[in-house]
Amino acid sequence: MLSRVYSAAVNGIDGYPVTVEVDYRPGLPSFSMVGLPDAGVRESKDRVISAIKNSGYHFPAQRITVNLAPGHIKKEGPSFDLAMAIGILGAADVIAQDNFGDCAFLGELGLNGDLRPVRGVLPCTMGLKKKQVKKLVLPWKNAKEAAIVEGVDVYPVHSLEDAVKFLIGENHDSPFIIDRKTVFQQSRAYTVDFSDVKGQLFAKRAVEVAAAGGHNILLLGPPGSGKTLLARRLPTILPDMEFEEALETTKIHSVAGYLRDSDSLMATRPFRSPHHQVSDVALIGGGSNPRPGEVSLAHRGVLFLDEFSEFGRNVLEGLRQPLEDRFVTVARIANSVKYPADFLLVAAANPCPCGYLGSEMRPCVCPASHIQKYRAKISGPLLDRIDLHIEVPSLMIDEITEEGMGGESSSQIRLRVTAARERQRRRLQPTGLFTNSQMNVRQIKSFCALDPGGKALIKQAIKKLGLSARAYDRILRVSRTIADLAGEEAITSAHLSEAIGYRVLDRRPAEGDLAPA
Amino acid sequence: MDLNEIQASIFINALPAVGPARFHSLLQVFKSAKETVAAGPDAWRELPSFGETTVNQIRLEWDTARRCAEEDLELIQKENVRVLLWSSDNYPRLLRELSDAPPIIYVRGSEPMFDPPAVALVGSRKCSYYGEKVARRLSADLAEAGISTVSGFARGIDSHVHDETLVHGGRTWAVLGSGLSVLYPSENKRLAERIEASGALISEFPMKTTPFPANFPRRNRIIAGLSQGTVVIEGQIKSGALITARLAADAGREVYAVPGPITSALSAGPHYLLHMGAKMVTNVDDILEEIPGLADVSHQGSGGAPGENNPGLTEEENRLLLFLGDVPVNKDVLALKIKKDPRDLAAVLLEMELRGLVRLLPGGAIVRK
Repeated sequence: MLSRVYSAAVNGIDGYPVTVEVDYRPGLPSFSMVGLPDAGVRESKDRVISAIKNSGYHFPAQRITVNLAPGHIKKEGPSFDLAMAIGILGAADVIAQDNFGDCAFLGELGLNGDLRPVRGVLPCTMGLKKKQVKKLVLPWKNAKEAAIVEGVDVYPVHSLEDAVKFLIGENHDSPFIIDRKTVFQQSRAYTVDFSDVKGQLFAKRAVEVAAAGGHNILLLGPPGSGKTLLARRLPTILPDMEFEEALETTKIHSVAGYLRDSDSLMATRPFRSPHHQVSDVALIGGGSNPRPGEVSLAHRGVLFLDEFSEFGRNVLEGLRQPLEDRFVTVARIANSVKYPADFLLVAAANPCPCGYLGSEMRPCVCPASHIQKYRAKISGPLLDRIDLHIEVPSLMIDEITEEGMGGESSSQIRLRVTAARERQRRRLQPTGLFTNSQMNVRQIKSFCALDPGGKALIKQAIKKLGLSARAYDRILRVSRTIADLAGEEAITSAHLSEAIGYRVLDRRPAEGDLAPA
Repeated sequence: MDLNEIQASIFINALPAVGPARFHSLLQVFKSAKETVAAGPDAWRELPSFGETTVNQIRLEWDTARRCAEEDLELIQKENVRVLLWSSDNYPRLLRELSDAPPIIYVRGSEPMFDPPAVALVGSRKCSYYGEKVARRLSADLAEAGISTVSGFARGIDSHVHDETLVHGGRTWAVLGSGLSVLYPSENKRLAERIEASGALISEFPMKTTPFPANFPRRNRIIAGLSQGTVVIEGQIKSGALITARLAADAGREVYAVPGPITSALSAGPHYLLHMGAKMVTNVDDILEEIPGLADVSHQGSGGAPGENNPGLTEEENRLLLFLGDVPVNKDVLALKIKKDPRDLAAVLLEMELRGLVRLLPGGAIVRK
């Protein structure tokens, strides 16, 4: 006796249908599984047997073979439990096969037959839709996530028994439906807002520029000056997510198992802040069963690296590829997967080893030579990928008057950012780029023309402030964004001046800042 | 041991148990360093300042000191160092007056000329922008007036004094708290070369002595001793600068202090000295007045407070400069005070920085240049 049931699995961040075939033959009782199951999938056997027995069904003492097709992709995880159990009951004629021919099943079984949620439900559902599977039976906690996909009817159940009753028509359930538009709208709200940041006018402005042009930014400031506060609010001023973007983000988080039960869609831009002891695999993604790393979890959002100078050198070097390509490829011999990783990098560091250089709170105790060494350390990796570096001062509270403290809300700033992005998109359309930060040297030349006054200014700045040569292109790129924010097509001296101010690490230390050399 | 006077002095100086006071009492009894060494430690026992334990200590140190002296002699050759003895004629006149004058000093640099008047300018290693500005202004004016400056080669005020004096073609003496072969802080290597070209680096310690903290108060008495007066620019109540001031007063030299903002901890030292009767310095003439033979040198010191309005600037730039002083003001505070949008202010400030009107300090603060 043979039965065949649909389920699904994830490869990279995309789901694909898996056919679970169950065959019975007379002989000594046994349960074998083929189709490249990993150790985790093999454990399903015991759960499935117990769940069937404990749900009150007969488990046939015969030779059972379970096949997971396609057979060339490695299967992992417990999400085939339900499909196997249904397959076995189908082969044993507990359920007629006609009842589940157009149905797919996802879910992990408990020994008592209860159903537990699994990860990767959204991509699985999308994969099943492609296969034209019409119905999906899954655990209740995964229902909201799956219901986002249009065209697949979602039937959430609590247990194996529920599932069987649904299939034989004892429970006349209607599909679980959510209003996608409402869900999308509702999940767009952020819990933090830019108006929470007191003072820090210059830093706020720089963060706005970073958001508008998609520029990576480095914040230098003493402990407690508000670097994290600012970074955390950067996602809130990025343009609102499109539905398709939200779907993509949700897929990544679903695969990684980070989606909360209450969420069906992640419509807010993600903010990821891995600790500085993060391993390169955890940051970039990988593993023997590949998983997306922090860079992919930050896709379409912000990756915040606090204590930038403390990150391992190899870890930061690993960021180069995703910063350049905006995706990560995890290559394995059997199969290589691609994770999207289009994020805005926000790095934060102390201005000197003790942290208090330039602070009004307490004096810095670092010798000049240590400061130079420290600066060289942060300048080393990745600085050529960071367009803005600014200082976030720590201010004595009584110095700041109440007026002008709160400032604009995120939504006000977001309007300007969105408008600036739109200008960029239109200008860059022929090149296939979206933001100013993506322009290469040639594109900078054609899109960031300077008038003679501007040329003279930047020349003088490079000479007087000792700006390094690599600063030049970055200044132009950023001034393009500043002009876009102002809604102007020409880059003026004022735009340029502001952009030059965002290159603190490129300045030659002025005589006197450090003891004369 | 068969040594000449210089070799003998270097040797005695290398004995840790023999400080300047004991060295001088030895010289008094034995008349010369050569004779002192020839007499040997057993003969030193008779002196009141040497007890049994001291002499035993010296015996233990004897061989190490000899090796140290031999090494010094080699380094002196190699590094072009000259050794000046208290007893010799080329020893600085003012320094010799100290009761605990170093019996021997190592000098590296140009032909030592200690007779022209010299003034010590000392202050904190972690000086403020204000302190730096004062140090540079006074050093420049002293250099123009032909006065040498003396300082301690440390970071902060000391380095600014040496640097600015040299920039204005003056002569400056740097007194080290380490041996001359050990430059500390190491980033001042280039500065040391520049000092040697016209002035000199001076130390009383054997060539390879490391900058041990206890060396610095000893060094300070040389700074005070070489100078007709000591100006304290910035320093906390307990600081090397104030030790130098006290040593200067003990030696009967003039003590000056530069007032600063009363809100700054670095002003506490100078203000304390002013309370105690130190002469207040607001420009270089205050220093020159007190130096004998220089009262007639008419000198126009650099201006004190900045003028009200500079005609070469726009109204807005003048308005900005009015808010700025020598105490750094944060950009954010400035923006709030003059009620200007940060993006416009950023552009104006950069423009002014490029024209050399203001300076941006680490941490995003602005000062007048």
